[in-house]
Formats: sequence, C-alpha cells, structure tokens
Amino acid sequence: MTRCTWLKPCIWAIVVVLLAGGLPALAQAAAAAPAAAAAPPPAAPAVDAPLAVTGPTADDQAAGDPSGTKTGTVNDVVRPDPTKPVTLVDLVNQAGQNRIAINFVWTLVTGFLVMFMQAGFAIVETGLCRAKNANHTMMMNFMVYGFGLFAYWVCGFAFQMGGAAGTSILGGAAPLSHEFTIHLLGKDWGLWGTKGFFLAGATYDVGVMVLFLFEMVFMDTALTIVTGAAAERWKYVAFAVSSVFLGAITYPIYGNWAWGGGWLSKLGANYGLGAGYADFAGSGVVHAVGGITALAVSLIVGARIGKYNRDGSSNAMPGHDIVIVLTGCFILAFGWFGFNPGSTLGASGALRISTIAVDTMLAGCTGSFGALLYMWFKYGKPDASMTGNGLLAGLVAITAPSGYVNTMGACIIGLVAGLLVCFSVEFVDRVLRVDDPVGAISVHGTNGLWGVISVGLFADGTNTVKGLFYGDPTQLVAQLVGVATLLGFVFSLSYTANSVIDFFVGQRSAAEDELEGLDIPEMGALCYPEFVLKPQSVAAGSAAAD
Amino acid sequence: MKIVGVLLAVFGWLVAVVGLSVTSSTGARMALCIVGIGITLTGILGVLNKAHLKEAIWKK
Repeated sequence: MTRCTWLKPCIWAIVVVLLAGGLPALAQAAAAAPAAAAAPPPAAPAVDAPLAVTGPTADDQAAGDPSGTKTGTVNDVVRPDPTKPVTLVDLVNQAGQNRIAINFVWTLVTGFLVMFMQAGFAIVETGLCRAKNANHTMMMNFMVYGFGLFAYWVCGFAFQMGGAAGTSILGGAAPLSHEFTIHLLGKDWGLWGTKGFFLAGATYDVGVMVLFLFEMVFMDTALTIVTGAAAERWKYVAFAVSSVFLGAITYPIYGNWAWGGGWLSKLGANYGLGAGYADFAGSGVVHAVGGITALAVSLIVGARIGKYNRDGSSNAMPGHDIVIVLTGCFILAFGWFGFNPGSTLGASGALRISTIAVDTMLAGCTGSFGALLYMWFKYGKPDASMTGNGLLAGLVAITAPSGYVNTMGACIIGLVAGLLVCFSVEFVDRVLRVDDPVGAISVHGTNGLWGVISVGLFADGTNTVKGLFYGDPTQLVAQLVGVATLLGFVFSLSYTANSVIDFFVGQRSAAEDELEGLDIPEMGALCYPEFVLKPQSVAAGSAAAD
Repeated sequence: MKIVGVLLAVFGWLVAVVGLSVTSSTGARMALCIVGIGITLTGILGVLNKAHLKEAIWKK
C-alpha cells in the first residue's frame, strides 16, 4: 500500500509533463514529418540559367598571360551564342566533348606511332637482307603501306569492323551496325561486317574515321611481316597482289572474329569460356596472322639459292647492316607504345594505359635478355640480330596480354618469348628447312601464338579477363580455340590464296635475277650504286647449292 | 599431298571449334583443342612442308 501512495502521484506528474510539453512536441514532430516528406527537394539550378562565373576580361587577355592563369577559363567553354553567359547545359556538353576529344587525340597519336613502325620494319628487314636486294626490300616495305591501305579502305575495314558498333569511348561509332551472322550448332556465329565499304554513307563519321586510322595501321603491320620472310626472292608483282588480298580479306576476317564482334569474341557468352577470346592489342590478330601468312608464302616461294646444301644443311646468309637492324628495333619498340597503350582507344576513363605501357617495355626488355643469354651461352657471343629479334619477340608476345597482366607476368612472358624465338629460328631453319631471312615466322608467328596463349595463363582478372594461374581455365580454352583458328583457318586461306597467285603470276623471281640481286631486275636501280657488290653467278650459285 | 596438308589443317581447326559444342566439360574442350592444334600442325609442318621440300630448289 505504501508503494501505491507514492506511485500514483508520480504517474500523474508524468502525464502532466507530457501534456504540458511532450505531447505538443511529439505532435509537432509528427506534423513536421509529413511536412518534410512533402517539402520539395532543394531547387536544382535551371540547366539553361546563366551561371555567375566570369573569366578574364578582354583587356586582361590583351595584356598577355605569362603565368597561364588567364588561359583556359570559362571564356573558353563552347556555347551556341558566345555573347551570352555559360549555362549548365554548355558545361555538360563541353565535358562530353572533352572526353571524346581526349580519346580521339590519344587514339590518333598512338595510331601515328604505329604508322611509324613501318619505317622500323623496313630498315630491320633491309638490314637483315644482302645489299644487292636492299632497294627491292625497302620498296616492298614502302609500298605495302599503300597497297594495304587501299585494300582496307575499299573493303577490309568493312569486313573487319562493319558490325562492331558501340565503341562508346570514341563517341559511339554507331554507323558500323551490321554483322553477317549464321546460326549453327545452336549459336550465332558472326562472320564479317557489312558496313563501311569505302567509308561511304553513314560511316562518313568522325568516330569511324578515328577507328579506321587506328585499325588500318595495325593491318599494315601484319602485311609488312610477310615481306621479311619472303625477301630476296619474291617477285614484286606477286608481293603486290598477295598484300592486297591479305589487307582486304584474310586479316579483316580474323580481325572481325576477334575484335569486330565476330564469333571468337562471343565464346564467353555462347560457350561460357571466360571473357571470350581475348587479344588486347593483337598478338594473334596482327602478329600471328602476319607470321603465319609469312610461313605460307615462304613455303610457296621456297628457299633462296645457296641457303641449303644438297644434304639439307643450311648456310648462314648474314644481313648487310646491323646498325640499321638495331636502329629499326628501337623504332619498333618506340612504336609499340602506340600499339599496346593505344589499344584502349582512349585515355579518358582508361587510365590503365600506364600499366600497359610499363608491361610493354618490361616484356621487350626481358625478351632481349632471353635471346641474348641463349646465344651467349650456346654460341659464346651475344648475337646482335638475335638480341634484336628477342626484343621484338617480347613485344609481340606481350601485345595480347598487355591489357590483362601485371608486371611480373609481363616479365615472364617476355623472357619466354626471348628464348622461344631462338628455339623457333633454329627449328624453322634446320628442321623445317623453311628459309626466313629475317626470322619473321618465329618473331611474329611463334611468339604471336605464345602471346595469345599467355593471356589464358597470366591474365590476373583486374580487367575482366582471368587466366588459368588466377583460377579460370575456361579462358585458356578460348585462347586455344583462337590458336587453332589462326593455324587452321588463317594459314589455309593464306596458303590457298597465294597458291592461286603463284599459278597466275608466279611467286618466285627468276634464278638469274635472284643471283644478280633483285635491285636491278625488279626495281631498275641499285640501292647502293657506289658499293662494290659481289653478285653470284648462276654457276657459283649452283656450286653453293651443291 | 599439298591438298592433304591443307585439308588436315582445316580439319584440326574444325575439331577444336566443333568440340566446344560436343561437350561442356572444360577439360574435354581443352583436350579437343590441343588435339585439333596437333592435327593442324601435322598438316602444315609434317605433310605440306614435306611436299614442298620434295621439290625444293636445293635438291635439284
């Protein structure tokens, strides 16, 4: 009872307090809640309202800007009427324009670097050939640019990229909108694009033009690989026709399957194979296609006179200028900074370009180490041309995985490539007895295939692709399907096409021309008219062959 | 023999590609790819190259 006597006043006191202060407060809060919910959000600034931002006056700018603080201000934001103040719409449009402009400039400049690789290939190949064929070899490398470019403009680009729409990083490239596809084995198989012939119609578009330039210089790299393997005995007219075919048909078809939305790129979606066939910058698409076509052409044209003896043993036929060979290797290594980092097709939103560039230089470095050490240990001297080829082999091998691997992976890939190119050169020369004056089949073919496989092993998953060593064996299967396609389809198509060319125009130059050197018979002028050359006679050539 | 070499190369490629639809096992697919590549290499390096070497200029 005593507890009840003090409890009752307490309850009343609480009720009074609530009535006096608490309940109105609660009521206020309750009333405020719907009010808050109903209150309009903070007013967004009108997108077309003028922004209160001013830049330097005309007088300020007229006085010059030595510190750079008055240049690149609100005055430089593009707007429909320059006399009116900037609005939010203008700023947003300018941001979009800037992103695409950065990516255009990046892709174009890296494409220009890749174009300059033609000069590197030209002098590497010429330096590795004999002086009597220097004009002919240079002229093949010079005109492969023109032949390939023309063929690619007519139809190659359309076959490769005509169905690749959706390159948002370059502003869309939407006109490239149709892929020829067949339905087979329950899946869709994209085979080639159908938009962009002559870059006419809707493909007369700024984004498409950037893509065309970049893809064109890649295609030309593949073409120039073949000229090295078949040098010193390839008839110029056959070279011209063969290059046009490669630039118009063979390269674009495989390029479409890998990069243009074709069936290889869809292996992930259709068959659950990782991210589908992944070839970041073209170990397969560019280098293996070039190297495998080089093998096909080399088989057809046969070995140079004097290269092999009757018993099948081979004779060394050293090049005439190691200085231009190694200078060319440096030019190529420089151009590779366009090849691989440029394959992001943009810098804005693609900051991994730094990783790709470092991977590229590291793989080239370890590639040259591998070849140098192999030759040094095996033959007692560090061979210059093989060290150069080791650098190129490392660069070729890292081209496909450069967008997907870390620096340790890049070093291993490059080192393996440097060793592999030495084994491959010896295998091609002594076992297969296929004459390849510059080692193009090994540098680009063998190491192109190694680069494709290495994606399936070393891709670390940072950029969507994960290889076997990081837990996804299916990616390796996709890469192996790519290798089988390169060897089975690309080789067969190249071999068949070049056999047809051989039938109609003949691939190999006359024996007398070859022995004299192709400069005069094919080109009409010596590369080095003041040099005293030592042409072989037919009899001497036969004796050497004996 | 040259035609046989080319046909073998194409056949090896088809083994690798069609193998994807034959099984969904990653190991089996990988094995079929390797077999296909092996057939292709046999066609190119074994059969086709040997046919070309038979008529090589240095054997005449």
